[in-house]
Amino acid sequence: INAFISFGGSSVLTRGHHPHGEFWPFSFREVGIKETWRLTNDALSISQTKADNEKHTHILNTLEEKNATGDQMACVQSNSATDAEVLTTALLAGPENMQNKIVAAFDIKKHRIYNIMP
Amino acid sequence: MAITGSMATLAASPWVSAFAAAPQNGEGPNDRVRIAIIGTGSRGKQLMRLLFEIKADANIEIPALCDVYNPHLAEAVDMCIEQDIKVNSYSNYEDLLDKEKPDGVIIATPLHQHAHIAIDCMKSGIHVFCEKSMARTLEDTKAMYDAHQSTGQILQIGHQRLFNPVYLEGMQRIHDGKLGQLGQLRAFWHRNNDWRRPVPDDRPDLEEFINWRLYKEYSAGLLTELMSHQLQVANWALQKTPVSVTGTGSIVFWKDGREVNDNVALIYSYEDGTQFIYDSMTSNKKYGLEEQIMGHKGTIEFEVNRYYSETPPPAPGILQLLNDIESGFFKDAHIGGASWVPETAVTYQGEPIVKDTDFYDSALQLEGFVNYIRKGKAPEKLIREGYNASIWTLLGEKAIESGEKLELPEKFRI
Repeated sequence: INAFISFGGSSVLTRGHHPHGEFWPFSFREVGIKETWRLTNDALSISQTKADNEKHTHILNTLEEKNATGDQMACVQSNSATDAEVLTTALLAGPENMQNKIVAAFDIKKHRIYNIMP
Repeated sequence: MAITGSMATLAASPWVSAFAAAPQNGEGPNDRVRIAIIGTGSRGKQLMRLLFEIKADANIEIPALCDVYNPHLAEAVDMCIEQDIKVNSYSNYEDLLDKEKPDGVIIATPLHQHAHIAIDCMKSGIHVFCEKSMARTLEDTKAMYDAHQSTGQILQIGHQRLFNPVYLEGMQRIHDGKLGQLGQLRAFWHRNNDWRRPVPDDRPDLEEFINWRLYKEYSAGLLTELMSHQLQVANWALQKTPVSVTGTGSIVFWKDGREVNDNVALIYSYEDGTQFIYDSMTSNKKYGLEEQIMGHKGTIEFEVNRYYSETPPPAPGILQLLNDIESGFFKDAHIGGASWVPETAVTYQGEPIVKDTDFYDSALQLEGFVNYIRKGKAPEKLIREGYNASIWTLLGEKAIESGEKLELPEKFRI
């Protein structure tokens, strides 16, 4: 079967492919991000440090008791929806120099961190 | 001033389709409908202004005015003079009926005067448009209805929402099942003022005469003057009348010698268990007025011309993906982004029920009245709506006074 399930565009599950192509061509609402992610039997999660109208980030590094900084968006593609959901938050919460190490501990297909331009 | 709304709406509302399609008002004086006004206070003068606007198209003539209070009568006569309309003025309505023999009258007197004036008019062979509520007592309401039945004269009560395209279209959707099963209706009317009209300094004895809305002998206050409109809407939506009413009321803010409550809350129950929950108060205006019709598939807020689906449409990105799939396109789906569900829910604004709202329902109901006079009769549904709203409004007053849950006494069933 071919299926595309989206919770508001930030948690996505796909099976199969777009009826008229070989994959689901997932792209972003954000105009500045011009990539297309190819999804087949994948889960994908997106997190952002803060919402459009928020002044402060809502993502917290609880180990060091400090907020995530900057205005960034993390996107993770994986077979596992749980991994994708957890990692998008972890990549934004943790320090930048730990991102590769975090990702290496999981079996995921693709990840990106984007800086959101104001 | 034209009736707007879809043709389906017009066809489904017999009292509108009767004249919306092809009004035949004629042009000559022989086709002219002569309408006199009895009661030229604030509402009477407002109805006169509307008559002035429709006068030419509807081919009507205003031969006479009547009011027992000379300052109001003089103002109304001046308004006619400004419009180059010659009117005869009377302080006694019986003289007006006798000398002018109008085709129809508009009665906009205080509530307690509606019944005997309307009955006398109908017995004299004159059609009646009477402001709401119908009458001050249950007995008078029934007597007016009986006079309409026995004389065959038109009796139209001023519930203008029956002619409002927003309500006509909305009711069509409700009756077609687009809102699903109605679970609850709610309405309210909140204002922040004392409702008083100025009494001349040298005539303190006119207090009850001018501020009749505040005294029980003449009015049931918020119930007859405001709630009756919204109760009519509830009955119209459900296509039934209630089986019982319970309520409570008090004077909490305006302790100025008035007798009517400034704060009321009532529940009208219908046969299938649906409730119409009502409240009105006059010391806060934040919430204004509204009728909220809640079905399991959708909601209507009539006063703001709004319809809400219980399943709001999907986001634009998903809609585009669906369109692409249906059209055979393989294109990027611009869906991804962090989403904030509470905001999404809050930003669903619903959609308007009727897009073109350039009309005025109080004028449309008068156009209707004139047209029915030409035909010699009005759809029975209209007087039934007025009667039921009046009877159940007054039962609501009795429920508040007695503290009991009341049902309809058989003698008032029609």
